[in-house]
Amino acid sequence: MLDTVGPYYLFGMIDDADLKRFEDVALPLLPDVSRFAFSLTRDTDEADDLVQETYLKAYRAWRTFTPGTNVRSWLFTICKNTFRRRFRREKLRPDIEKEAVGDEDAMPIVMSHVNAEQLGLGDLFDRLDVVPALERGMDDLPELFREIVALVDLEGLSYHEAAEILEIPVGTVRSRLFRARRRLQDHLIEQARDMGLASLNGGGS
Amino acid sequence: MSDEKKVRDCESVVRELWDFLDAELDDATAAEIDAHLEACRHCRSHADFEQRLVDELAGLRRGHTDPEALRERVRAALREAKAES
Repeated sequence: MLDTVGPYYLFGMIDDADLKRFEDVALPLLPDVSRFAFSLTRDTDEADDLVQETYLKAYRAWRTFTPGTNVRSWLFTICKNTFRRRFRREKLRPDIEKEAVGDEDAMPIVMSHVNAEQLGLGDLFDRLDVVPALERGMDDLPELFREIVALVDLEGLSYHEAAEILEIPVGTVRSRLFRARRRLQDHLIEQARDMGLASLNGGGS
Repeated sequence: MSDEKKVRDCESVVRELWDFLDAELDDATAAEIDAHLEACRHCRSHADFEQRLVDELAGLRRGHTDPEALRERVRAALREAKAES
């Protein structure tokens, strides 16, 4: 595992040139790693600590990095593993784990999506202050869902890239992403209802 | 019969809608779905709503800290780690 690689002295001294090469390659990606860290922690100070620890681990494992492979994905993987071991506050809830890990057919979820037009929500996004509402929705998402949204929706990674970073099958990425987006969608609809922007009475007819 | 076909076609499209919106489908499949969305107002509305959600989520892609200050902090930590090696 990437972040369980031993201390750098196992791989020989890292000289000034190594450090400079590492900084040249890895530091430009710090904003990306910082965003991902915030998505995981949802706390600015903890995210900064997580970024620093991620970079220290990456630096110490630098000589194990394969040139030509994706540095960003490598850093994201170290960040994710570090978060899980050091920063995670919530225990995985069995129900969430069961819901998230399964690679079952997502069709019932997809088909249960609201018909926005029928519910009078066609212009929901124009009437609701969406970004703060989605930020609150992200706060409420279980970590396993939040990390998928962070990688695919915020960082624009493919399902395959996200699967590699999270070390799960692509089908599980797809399944978790569907569920995460459904939760965020439901959160928006709830916000709209609270604000009197939608009158949802359990149906669209 | 034609209604059955329509439902099946819509189901097939909705089943792959997120993959379509995330550009995860091959060109031929994407073109089939695109053609269906052009012709089916219900699925088009559904797709538009989901696309808007994805677009708004991308809007959350912003920094939450001072990147320069964090970069300097990380750089200092790296040099300290090197000095200790």
